[in-house]
Amino acid sequence: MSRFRRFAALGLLTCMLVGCSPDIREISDIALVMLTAIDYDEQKRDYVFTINCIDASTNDAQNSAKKLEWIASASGKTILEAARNLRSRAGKILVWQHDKFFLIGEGAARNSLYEVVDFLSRNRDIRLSGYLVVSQGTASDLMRIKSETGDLISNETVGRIKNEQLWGKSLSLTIKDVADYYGNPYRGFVTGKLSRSMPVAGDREVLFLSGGSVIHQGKLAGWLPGKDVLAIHLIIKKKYWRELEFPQTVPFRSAKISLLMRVANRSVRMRQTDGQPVFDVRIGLTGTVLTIDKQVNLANPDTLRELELAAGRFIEGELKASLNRFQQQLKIDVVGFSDIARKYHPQAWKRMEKTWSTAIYPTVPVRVHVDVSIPAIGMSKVLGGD
Amino acid sequence: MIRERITPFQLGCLCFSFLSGFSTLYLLEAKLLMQDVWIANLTACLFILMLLKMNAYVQNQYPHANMSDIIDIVLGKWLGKLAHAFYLLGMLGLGVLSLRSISVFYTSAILPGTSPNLIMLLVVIVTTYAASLGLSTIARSVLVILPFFVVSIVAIGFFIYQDVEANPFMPQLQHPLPLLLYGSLISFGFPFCKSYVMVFLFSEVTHQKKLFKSCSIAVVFSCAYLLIATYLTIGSLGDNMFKTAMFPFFSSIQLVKFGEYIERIEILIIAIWTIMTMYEIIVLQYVFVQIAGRLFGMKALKPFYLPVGVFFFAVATKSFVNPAELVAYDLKILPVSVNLNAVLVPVCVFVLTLFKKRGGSVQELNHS
Amino acid sequence: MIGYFVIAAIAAYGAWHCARLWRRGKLRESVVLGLVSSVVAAYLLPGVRHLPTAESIHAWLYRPLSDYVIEWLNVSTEVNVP
Repeated sequence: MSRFRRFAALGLLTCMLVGCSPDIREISDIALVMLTAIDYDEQKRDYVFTINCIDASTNDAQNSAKKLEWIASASGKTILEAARNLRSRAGKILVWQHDKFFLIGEGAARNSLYEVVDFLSRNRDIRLSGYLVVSQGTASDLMRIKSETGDLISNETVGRIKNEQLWGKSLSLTIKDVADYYGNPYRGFVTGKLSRSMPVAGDREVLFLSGGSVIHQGKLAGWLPGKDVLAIHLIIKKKYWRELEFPQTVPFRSAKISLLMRVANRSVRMRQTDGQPVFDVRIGLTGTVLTIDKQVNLANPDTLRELELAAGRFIEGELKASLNRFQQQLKIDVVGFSDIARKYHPQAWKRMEKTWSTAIYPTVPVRVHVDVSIPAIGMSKVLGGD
Repeated sequence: MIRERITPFQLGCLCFSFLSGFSTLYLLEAKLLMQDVWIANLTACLFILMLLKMNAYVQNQYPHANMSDIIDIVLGKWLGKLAHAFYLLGMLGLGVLSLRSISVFYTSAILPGTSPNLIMLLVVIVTTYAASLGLSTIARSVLVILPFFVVSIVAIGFFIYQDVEANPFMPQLQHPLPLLLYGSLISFGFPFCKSYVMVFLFSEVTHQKKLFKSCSIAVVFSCAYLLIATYLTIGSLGDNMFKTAMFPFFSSIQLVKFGEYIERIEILIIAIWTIMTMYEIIVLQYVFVQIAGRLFGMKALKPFYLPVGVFFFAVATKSFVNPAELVAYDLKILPVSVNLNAVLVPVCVFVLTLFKKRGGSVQELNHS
Repeated sequence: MIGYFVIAAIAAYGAWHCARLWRRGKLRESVVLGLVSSVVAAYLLPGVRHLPTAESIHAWLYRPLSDYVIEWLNVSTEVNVP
């Protein structure tokens, strides 16, 4: 009993020591940063750090209008200095632990991406599962555009990223993937592109997350259109294509048939033919017929099989065109063929690595094979009956 | 002095907790060897099993005599005292390393504004009290904690596996033999060589014939846990991110999430590392006091637990002030420094015990 | 601050138990306890900087051997990040 009393006294003393930590934060003292934008002013050689944050204590999930949304910018010679200079305006302690979205301005992406990626991967507040997207133009300007739906900008932005898997023409990488690919000299990578535009029948500019930003050798190298991003989306990691659904309109006989495609399996392999590398990309897709613009009886198994083959050939052609553009125009290994060579053919890779970017990748043969199966044709067989 | 006995199963569980501790915190040998790290870990594991077998043999020749008494018997009084002094120095080094490692982790990842000395003091308060409770209490508490550990690690492993994209085992055999050898030394230095501390608990085990079996199972499971954590981390983080991250296993757990909003599973590994590191320090403090008692010929050891605990804390406040020093020590000094305590002395004791036994057998034959 | 608190605690503890052990005739334990308490207090005094630690002793003893092993094996302990 005396031992228990002694231990209890010791435990009580130890609990009081908790108050000695300066890391204690009251919920009413913190503001949650939900979006962060980083720009680089080339003329002034300054970083501009912009945040969108909400008050942590107004946690009514039903009525987001009551949440106090605050957008502020500050500049500094380094990102950390700019972030700290924000405290001159912040009325609360800023915490980044709920920030899922980081927007990098075009200037920062072209000139000083190293410091940005280092800051994001080194900072303990920032979670590696957050997304990194490059803006066309200045990120802080895009951050100030009001949301279309009236919801918080942060909710809308995260929603856009989640929706990427429902159409495929945008691909936002996590900070972990960006940091992992960033230092690889043999490949580039593609992450999301945020831009502004006037929508159809719109009265003001809104934000679009569409297409891709190509990062190569530590800098923004250019932009990619949506259909090229779809090609990367299909070939890149499983966690990005696992839930992917994308629409594909396939010409079939004299009709156009729209299918909603899903990825069933995907493999990318390298083989060697006469000592030269060849890459085989095999993708298995499943499709659901959604619309047809002329009468085609898909209830006929032969017709359906013909459609499957036609869809496979058509998507193969699209993929092949995209991969050709990556090799011949872009000349950047955005898909990651070098990783496959290095991992699974290390001896061959030792011979290839010196000339991979300049000579081998732009000319390496890539065979694409797409198998499509259409297990569902929708709720009707053919308009007007057989 | 009350002798506290533990069962071989309890010894095995304690050995596993002691070895696993924070073995998955830095993964330094894996950063050097990447996919070939299994060679280093398996080599170190096999070597330790060999040493444990030798130690178990020696213990069985002197049943229920403490290893420190056996060292005195075999090496002689003064050489034995010198060996004990080095053991005390080694255990102090391991304890300080554990304290600093856990405080570096806390100040880097969780509580950046908190003084590392405060974190170390909180840990030492708990470990000192636990060490003073005695070996059987410590061993029984490990049996309570280990099921939670196993369930947590299995759950964490399963969820990290969902994020594994590329084959983490490829490419294999890309590192030269000297680097594999040095990686094995690093792996031997930390975490496997720590098992030399457990040898001093052999005398407290009820069934002396099962010493090797229980410890070897613990070492093998510890090796398996380390390998599984390493390869899952390489697979989920990617090669470059694995080398870049300060705490790779922690970073890979941070990626686990359910849906969009249920995150922060890493709290599990924080709890595991903290508790297991505490067990490591508890065992080190307990054995330190026992050996110090024998070195100075003392019988009443109860009052020494607190001063020894504070001694660990005091030395830790002056050690590895710079986190880079800690990593450099783990990479360069520890692989070499442990060999005296973990290899040289046990091998000498084993060889001398073997000769003494053979000499004794020859004498018996001559007399008969 | 923490250092002062611990010095005070260990000094009080050391003095109390030293006296207690001395009264019970355990002279050796009393002397060793007094020594350990003094060493701990010395380590925690703020002005004291260059006391030996396990780290410094091990580095002094084993650095030449470690450097030799690294040189002999011709390995680099730097992690290669491209």
